[in-house]
Amino acid sequence: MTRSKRMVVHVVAEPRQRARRIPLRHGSEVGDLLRKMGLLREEFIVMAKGRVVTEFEPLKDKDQVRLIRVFAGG
Amino acid sequence: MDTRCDFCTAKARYFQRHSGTRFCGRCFTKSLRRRVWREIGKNKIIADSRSMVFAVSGGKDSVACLDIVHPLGKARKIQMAVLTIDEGIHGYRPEGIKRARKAARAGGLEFHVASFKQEFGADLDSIIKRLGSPKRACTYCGVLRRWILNKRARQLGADRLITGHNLDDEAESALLNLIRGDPARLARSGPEYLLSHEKLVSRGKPLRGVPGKEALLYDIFNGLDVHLGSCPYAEFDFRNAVRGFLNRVEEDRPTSKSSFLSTVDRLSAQARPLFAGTKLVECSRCGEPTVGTECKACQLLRSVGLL
Repeated sequence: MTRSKRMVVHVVAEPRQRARRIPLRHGSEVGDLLRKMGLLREEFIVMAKGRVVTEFEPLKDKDQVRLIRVFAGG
Repeated sequence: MDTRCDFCTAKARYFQRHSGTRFCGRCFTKSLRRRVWREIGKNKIIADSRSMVFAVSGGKDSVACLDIVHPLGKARKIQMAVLTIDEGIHGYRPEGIKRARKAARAGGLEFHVASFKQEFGADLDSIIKRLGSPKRACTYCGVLRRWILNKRARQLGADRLITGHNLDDEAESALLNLIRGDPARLARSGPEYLLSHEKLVSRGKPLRGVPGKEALLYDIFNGLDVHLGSCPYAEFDFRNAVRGFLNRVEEDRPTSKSSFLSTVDRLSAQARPLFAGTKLVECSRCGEPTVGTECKACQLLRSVGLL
């Protein structure tokens, strides 16, 4: 079985709810996703399947991920 | 491979970078509560209090703070109430007030709302209109909010005003004071407000050592409903730039914020004797405590024609 080297993760960022598709290398983790998006780990909480996950969480093709911004301001 | 919590067998939900610890939700909650209790004990935040008012905006920090501190107050039979300030920010504040009311109800606490409109005759939105630009919104909002918080907490008979200031807020304020060249303010900052006055309700910041991210994680793990929206004026504040800078530094070197803050705390303790002459007096107009003759709130209100 051959595996594609790339995958796409669907990302929804709160509170603005803009959906994005982020291409990643196969075998990437949540930390790689944040790096790819140019985001700081300090500023976001990542949720997958409704649960908070660490930066080491492995991602699969077509995974849905929600980012919650920590610093809303005000 | 799944990452496991360092304290039990559950799946890890949070990796605390500065300590290298992996936590599941439950073990994280326990650890955070313990840290906050230690802060409360160390700085005698509720030690001799008989009546506390929690300043709750409905945001992640104040809701977490209330959830952690309120059971301690209950065990010590301290009278407690929740106070929320309605600055009058269209499309933003009503959501926070809803969450604050819910949090107060969950703890069985009295809930009070004090508004800019009632106190000053104008809400923040109309003050910004008078100013013509949102650039100084946070200055006006912060000064006026603190003025009402102190006055209302005192009227409610409180001897402590508990706020949700977290590690990020405190590190940002410390750096802002350094950048602004305000050593006097820096010298009176710290875990406790050093100046006292019979009309000033002493403040406590139990979350002072807790990063904002951990406060929000606590809310999520404990099912607390918090307001995540952003204030429409926040983006204009210089604090934003300072926050971004500190977060980038923290990304490269975890623990930067806490070691920076503890260094500043130690330096400001050393600098205190230099500013020992500063005393709080009553404002010549409103009678609230201030370091000058007229308090900052009155000066700002006058500048927009509200006095």
